[in-house]
Amino acid sequence: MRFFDSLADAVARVRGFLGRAGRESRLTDEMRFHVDMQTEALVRGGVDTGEARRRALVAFGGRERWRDAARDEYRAQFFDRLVQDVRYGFRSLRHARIFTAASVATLALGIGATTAIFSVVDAVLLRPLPYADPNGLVMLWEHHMSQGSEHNVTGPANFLDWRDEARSFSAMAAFVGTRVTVVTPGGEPVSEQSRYASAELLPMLGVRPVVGRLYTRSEDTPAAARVAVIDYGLWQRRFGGRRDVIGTTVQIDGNDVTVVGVLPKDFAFFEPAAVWMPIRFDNADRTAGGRYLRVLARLKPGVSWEQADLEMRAIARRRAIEMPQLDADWTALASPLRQDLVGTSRTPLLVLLGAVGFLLLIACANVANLMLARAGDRRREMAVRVALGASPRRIAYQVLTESVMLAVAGAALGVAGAWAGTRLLRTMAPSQLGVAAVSGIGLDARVLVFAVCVAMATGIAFGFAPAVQSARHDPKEALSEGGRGGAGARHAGRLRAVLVVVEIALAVVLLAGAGLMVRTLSDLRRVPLGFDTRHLLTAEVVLHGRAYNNDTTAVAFFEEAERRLASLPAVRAVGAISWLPLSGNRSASSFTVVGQPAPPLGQEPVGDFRAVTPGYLGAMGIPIEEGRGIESTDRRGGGEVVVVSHTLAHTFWPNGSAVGHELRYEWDAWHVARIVGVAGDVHHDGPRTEPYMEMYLPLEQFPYTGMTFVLRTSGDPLAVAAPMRAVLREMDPTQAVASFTPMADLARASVGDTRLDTVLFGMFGIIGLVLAMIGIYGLGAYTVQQRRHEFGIRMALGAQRSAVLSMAIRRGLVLAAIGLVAGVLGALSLTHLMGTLLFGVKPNDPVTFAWVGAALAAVAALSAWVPARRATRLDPVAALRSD
Amino acid sequence: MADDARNDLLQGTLDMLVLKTLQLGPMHGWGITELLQRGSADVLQVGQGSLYPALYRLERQRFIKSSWQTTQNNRRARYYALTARGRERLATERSNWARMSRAIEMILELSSA
Repeated sequence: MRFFDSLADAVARVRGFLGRAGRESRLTDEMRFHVDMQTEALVRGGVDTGEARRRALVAFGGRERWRDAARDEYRAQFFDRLVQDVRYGFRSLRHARIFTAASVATLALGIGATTAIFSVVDAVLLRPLPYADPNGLVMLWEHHMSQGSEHNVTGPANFLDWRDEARSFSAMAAFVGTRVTVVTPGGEPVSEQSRYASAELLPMLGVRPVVGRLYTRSEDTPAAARVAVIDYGLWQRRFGGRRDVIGTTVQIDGNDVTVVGVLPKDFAFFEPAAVWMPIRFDNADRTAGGRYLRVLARLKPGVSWEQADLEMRAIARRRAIEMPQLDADWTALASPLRQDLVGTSRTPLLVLLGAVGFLLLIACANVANLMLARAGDRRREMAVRVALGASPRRIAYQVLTESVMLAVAGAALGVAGAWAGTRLLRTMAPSQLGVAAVSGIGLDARVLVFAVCVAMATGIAFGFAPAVQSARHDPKEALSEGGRGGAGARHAGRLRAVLVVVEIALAVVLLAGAGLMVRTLSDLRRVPLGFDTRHLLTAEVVLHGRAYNNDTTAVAFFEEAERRLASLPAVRAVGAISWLPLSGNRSASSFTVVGQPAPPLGQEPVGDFRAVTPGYLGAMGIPIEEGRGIESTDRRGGGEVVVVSHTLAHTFWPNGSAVGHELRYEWDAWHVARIVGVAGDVHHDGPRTEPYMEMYLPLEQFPYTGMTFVLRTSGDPLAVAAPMRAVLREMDPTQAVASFTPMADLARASVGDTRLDTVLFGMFGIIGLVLAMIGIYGLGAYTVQQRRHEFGIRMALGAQRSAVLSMAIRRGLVLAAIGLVAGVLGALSLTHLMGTLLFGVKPNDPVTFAWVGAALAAVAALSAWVPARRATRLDPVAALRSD
Repeated sequence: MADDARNDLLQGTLDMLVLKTLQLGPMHGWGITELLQRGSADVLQVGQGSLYPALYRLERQRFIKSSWQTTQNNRRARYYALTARGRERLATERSNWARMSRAIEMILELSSA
């Protein structure tokens, strides 16, 4: 009943506030009626009309003042009271420093974490993709049914067939990323990430060039003149943003290409690409083998992606019969573009959002607890206010205003934290958050609105119980007998105790997770990768152009470059390899051991190939365990040689020596190579993956046009970049270094996922810990406040301070102990779920658990001690008199 | 309002009196002032500056309701009427008033014994 009354009242206020025009006319009409009646009465009493009217008006008094008073009643001093309450709130919060700091910190953590995670969820899952009609876009993939990924790239033959035959789509485009060397007029050759794409791709995405035009279908044929569209970054970097870039001819991989357009600044689609060129399929591509294309298509209106998917599967069945050499055992499928951009991050993100929402709930409960403890402290204040005529509702509003103020302060801090947090996520996890690169994580208006809503809801959620409790105070009771808690209060006390236990248990679980991740990270960093990452520069050089179509010219180039680089003053050793460790690239194929029984077909061992120059193993610091390394005298004419890795040697010759044996391997044709040495193992894909069986082959025997130099330097590795570029320019001014990266950076990046997980777990652990701290503190403060009277009597009767302290602290410590045990049990049953995240440490790692337990016990003791100390400082006289 | 000598009614008393007059039947603002003045033999002269705010306050609290009606002389006037809540309120206030005035009376009657 009460609730509905105040609701009706609120509605009336709002209506009064909004219906200003109606109200004004009502006031005027009523006033006129009143004066008329008064006049008439006077006229009846014998006064003449004009005089009567004058007197009536005088009697009415100052019209404007009357109106103001009436108006005020209408407008229901809602805003005046709000201002008053806010001012009062400021004053009272300023006086309760610890309370305010604890509440604001709790809320900042809760709201900040929620906002940060929401901003990621929003960018990845909720915001529409920044393309024209994004829901109609699908990716088309192939799937090798007996093995391999479900979203495998396709080849030109299949793509061209789909484009001709599929009925579900209004447009279809293939694209592939690659690196090209770009020479601008009068500039240096620079390697740029680029993309070959069908002419339909960019229009399908709704891209409008900022300058010039996109390339057309007629330019997407082998016969057409070569054209390119460049991205905004390249335009600014290489052309200074000049509009006359349109029509400029640049050299791309040795071909003259005309720039026809510039892409908008914020455009992104999968990996960045500076140069976009037509893909120029010809007739030979209709039968070409090899799969390297990704395909984007737009659904016809009214066609769902599931229908398109069915059609793709039907087409694939036909292709498997028509082109068995290419398509037997393959099927095709369609999937929404967002799914491919989001990847596998959907579920973890939603779990994270749920977890963070749970933390926020606990934060609210915590602050409600603090407020209840404080409400106890403020009983007299409230009682005095009630006695002075404040209505219960007014007091409830006041308490609610304070809690919303706390929530707003917490939200402000939290949003600042979230801003820093999202920046951190962005710099740490560009690859894990695929779509975020496209739509961009950040604190935009949506996220801020979300944060404000969360803050308001939070303020009301945790302020409601204390507000109701304050409003219920009976001033007589509070002023006279100190109002001991009845059954209801005891029930609430038990609830508070359970909350504290849950908080501590949660903190233990989260901290255990964080501790395990920290140990995992440090263990991962300690894994010897098999080579020395210090003072090592890596530089990828991909040779382009007709001059290097012939293997021997490419090999000669790399050998000559190695010789010249070795003579640079700061370079201590240099070598080159086709697939650099930690680069994410590798190439493997099956092989057999000559002289050992051949395994059944399809079960041959798989080994990794590495084409290397003679300097490579030495420059990397990979030890030769037996025999010798690759030498410059290893030429095809003298018979093929190979250096195998430790793992390969010990797999096939666990007891004897591998040197002298022969391997058969397939690489365009079958080769036989004699093992001349055994090299140490290398963690090619980072510390988490075991070393592969590797075969180092001389470059001359295994020619390759894209090599990565490794340069062991005496100082800062990047200082060698400029001299190296000069050396290459001297040799061939049309070639460029694709990228310079210190090996230490690659090593750091190889544990990037783990670092992100560690930071996330750590954040959650800290939030859990702070919540638990504040929970224990709030409970202690409340207990001390409740038992103030009792403590006062005890001390008046001569109890030792230490005895009172131990009484006041006991409950908090008991609850902390229960929470700790529950948390450890919970953590033991949950951390095994982290199995795949961990490395080198068991999910029940005793060291981690001991640390977490000790840390929590210390924190709990401190949080319980602070309020308990207050009990010992009570002045017995004051405590007894106060209530 | 406080500077208006005729308005020396205790805060809250005016509300009670307004409710009382409306208990006699629906009435417009001018009628209420007339009734209060005549009913108290001209002792209570309620200024419009306090009457109308009181009416609006009581209406917002849903003790009274109002509507436009036509008077006997065919004029448009805003009539106020008591609601069920208002009746209850009046009863409470009356008993409070009775208690209070009795208490004050008792004090005033004290004689030195």
